[in-house]
Amino acid sequence: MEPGDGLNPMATPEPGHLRIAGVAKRFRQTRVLDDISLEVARGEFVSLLGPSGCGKTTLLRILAGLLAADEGRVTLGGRDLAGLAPHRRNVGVVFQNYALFPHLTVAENVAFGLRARRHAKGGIAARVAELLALVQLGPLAGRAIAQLSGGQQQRVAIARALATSPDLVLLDEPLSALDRKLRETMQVELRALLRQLGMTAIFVTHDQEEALTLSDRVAVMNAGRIEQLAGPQAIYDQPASPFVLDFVGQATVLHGNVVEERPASVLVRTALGPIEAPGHMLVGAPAMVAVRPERIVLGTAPDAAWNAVALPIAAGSFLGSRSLLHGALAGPDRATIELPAGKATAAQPGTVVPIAWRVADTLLYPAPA
Amino acid sequence: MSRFGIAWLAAPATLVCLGLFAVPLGLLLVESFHGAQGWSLAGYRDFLGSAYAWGVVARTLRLAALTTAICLVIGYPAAFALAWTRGWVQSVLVACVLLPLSLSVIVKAFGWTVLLRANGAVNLALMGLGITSAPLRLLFTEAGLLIGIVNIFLPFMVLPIFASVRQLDPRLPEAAATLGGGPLYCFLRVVLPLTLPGVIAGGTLVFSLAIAAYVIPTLLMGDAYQTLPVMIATSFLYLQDPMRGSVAGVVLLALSILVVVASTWLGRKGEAA
Amino acid sequence: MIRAAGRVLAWAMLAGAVVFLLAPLVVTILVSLSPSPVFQLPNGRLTLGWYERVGRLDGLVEAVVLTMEVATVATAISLVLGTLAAIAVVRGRFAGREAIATFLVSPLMLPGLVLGIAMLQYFRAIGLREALPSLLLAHVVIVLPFVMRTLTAGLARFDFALIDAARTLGLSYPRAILGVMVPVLAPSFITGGLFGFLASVDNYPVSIFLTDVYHRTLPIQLLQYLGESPDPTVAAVSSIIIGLTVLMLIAGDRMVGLNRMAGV
Ligand SMILES: Nc1ncnc2c1ncn2[C@@H]1O[C@H](COP(=O)(O)OP(=O)(O)O)[C@@H](O)[C@H]1O
Ligand SMILES: [Mg+2]
Repeated sequence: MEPGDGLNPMATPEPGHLRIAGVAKRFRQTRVLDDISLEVARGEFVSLLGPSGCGKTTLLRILAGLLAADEGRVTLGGRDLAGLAPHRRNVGVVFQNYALFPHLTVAENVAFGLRARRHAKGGIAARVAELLALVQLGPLAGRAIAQLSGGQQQRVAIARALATSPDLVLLDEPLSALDRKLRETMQVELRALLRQLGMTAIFVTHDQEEALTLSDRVAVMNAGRIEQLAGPQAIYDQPASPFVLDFVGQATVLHGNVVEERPASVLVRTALGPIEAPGHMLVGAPAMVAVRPERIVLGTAPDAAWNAVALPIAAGSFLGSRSLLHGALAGPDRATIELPAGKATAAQPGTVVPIAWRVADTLLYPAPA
Repeated sequence: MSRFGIAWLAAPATLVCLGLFAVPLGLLLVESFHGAQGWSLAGYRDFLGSAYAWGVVARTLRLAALTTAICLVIGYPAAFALAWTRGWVQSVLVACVLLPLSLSVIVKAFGWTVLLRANGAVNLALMGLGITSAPLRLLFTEAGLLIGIVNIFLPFMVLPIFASVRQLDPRLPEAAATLGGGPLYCFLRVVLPLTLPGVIAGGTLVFSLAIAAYVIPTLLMGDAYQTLPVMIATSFLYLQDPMRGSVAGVVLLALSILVVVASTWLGRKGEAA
Repeated sequence: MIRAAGRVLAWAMLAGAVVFLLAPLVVTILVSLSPSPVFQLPNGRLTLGWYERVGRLDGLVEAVVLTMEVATVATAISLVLGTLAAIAVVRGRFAGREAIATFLVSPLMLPGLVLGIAMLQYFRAIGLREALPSLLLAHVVIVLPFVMRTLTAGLARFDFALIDAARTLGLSYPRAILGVMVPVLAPSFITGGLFGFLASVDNYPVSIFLTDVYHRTLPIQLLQYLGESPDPTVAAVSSIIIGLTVLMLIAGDRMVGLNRMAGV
């Protein structure tokens, strides 16, 4: 796991290019979106990350104007989008299965938006050539869609969405249909392309690694709400809720009760012993402490700023350059340690090994009911 | 538009069909119980009690079954070969299957009378190929009728099967072959089940069209060869016996509906399997 | 071995089927060129004389015009009704949509003669005695099933996200439907329309009950001519219709590709 650096090349991004305020949507009885608020700066790349069915596509459709929100406001470049039909919004969309026009060629697909907006013929040809060059599809301009590979179709979909220089581009799981290798190449290309064009983008994915790698900021969604909105590093290091902790990356998680309150931390009694975690909670409250796998080292605590426990090992998995060790724990508790591959040999399944991590790296949550 | 609102789009067509054929057929059903002396079951009693009428029903069903079987035997393999072709060759061959629909059934029948004569092309071909030594009598025989009727309905068998063969994933039979299935096993267990929807669609269509065929039997066999449609037409047009015609119509209608229901049921079973 | 035998069988059946299907067409064209005054194949000499007679044959031109009129109007109405109904059946989530789909294609499977008689009695009962409107209404019922069949199949495969895509690219909702759904479904429209049109042009068993002396459709007129004297003029008319259909098929092939069209 290599969280992206989250750097935005725009020195002073214009804040609030896209403002989503209190958007809610209901299908029949079920609330699919609940009080979604989000501001995206011009040129920013924001990911919507969440499990399938959490409302990501629904939010994109509202932004594109294909669906009306029940509540809330959306403005783009200062313009209120309420009641504005999709064709008047200038929002580009890359659809989940691309939705390329099967009766048109590659070039005609890319030209579709320009023709719909009645651009001049010569201008259209030049713009189409430019975009096809940008996505490296120049030689395939005359091909039928059915004759393209998945990756090529994906590029056409992107070129088509960008052709009209939209104020905002929405990408709905654009890479999920590609195989792993191609997906990684396309991630890099897509990010570079959007950055080069200074395009404001909202990128939907259920793949946390993809979201962390690509985005300036990530909005983690769960059941129609944004659980956390932050840069990739912060999402990973300081998950705002057990859901985010669980959905993004792996963690060791121990449950227990607060037994002591200190000035800036609490002590939680867990199955593995007392754990100190920064934060405030009342004594006696059920709590959950967690730590990311690579923060854990083998061995005993060097000083009082560390937590140390003895962990029975259940299994290990080899990942090439590093290894993961899984603890043998009962109930909702679980433990995962990440070690450089060489060091893992010390901890065989069946043994009990001493492990330690900094108190500062410990995460504290009220235990979910 | 909501998915419920969409239902209303079916309203115009449904109303037109209700008004233009469901209600008229209902009236026909009523008519079949309406004799010269008021309401009676006499029409059905006469019809069902008559060995002659049963003979007509049997003849109609046999003709339709034979037609469907022959169309299937020719059409099923032909549809595969059609699906194997590519490009303009396929376009031309598809055109050859579609084009006969543009020639009136009536003119086709006269064309066949020319071809089926003792010195016609069919007999010359049979003798040329050494299959027969003397000219066969084909005109005004059931064999001749079958040739004509298969000729008319064959496209309705080939096209649905062609559509289902084209949707076959070419990798599936290969996958079956890699799993150790021989060609016959692979055909019976993979290809046949997957093309069955096309066979059911084509078979239903041809059977329904064949039990209702009127023009071809009268032209190639004459009115003496009575099938249900011929019986209906003679009752109404020549004998002025609307009750007998209505009863025969209801019987034919019931058979057609039975075929549609059976094919829908078969199709469902095929989907579920 | 078995596979090779299967292939040979398939190709043989296709070749045989094509020859068999085209045989009556070839006969008709040859008869139309034969100098013999009865339905007979030419022996040696050919003539175009029967084509000259086409315009002079009593009632023929009127029958052709009426038939085309009825088929065209019925096909147009059926395309509109059928498209709407197919959208409802494919996209809707209401109870009974399968029943409606079956109901709307069922006239294709029902005996034409019975339909014709039932319609005749019904039209009389409601006081409709004019031949032209009766024919038009009846032929909508004849054409509609073909359109329904091909369009429900086409729509089931249609990706409605294409319409969303077109809308985000700058087309209004109505323009998106016309600009995307119509061309993508063109094979279904053309196939359903063509089959329905041809079925209407060639319909005898329904029309026979609804025509009058002044309104005879082509099949009825043809049967009458052939009954009186098997005159090659009829073959000439049929050959002209075959020729026109060839042109329609070429146009259809140019527009959407014949092989994409054939999904009945
Ligand atoms: N048109 C609709 N009618 C009813 N429910 C819908 C509709 N569209 C989506 N939903 C429901 O809304 C929820 C969110 O869907 P969606 O936005 O597609 O999720 P995601 O894109 O995050 O996987 C799902 O539970 C889905 O079943
Ligand atoms: Mg989605």
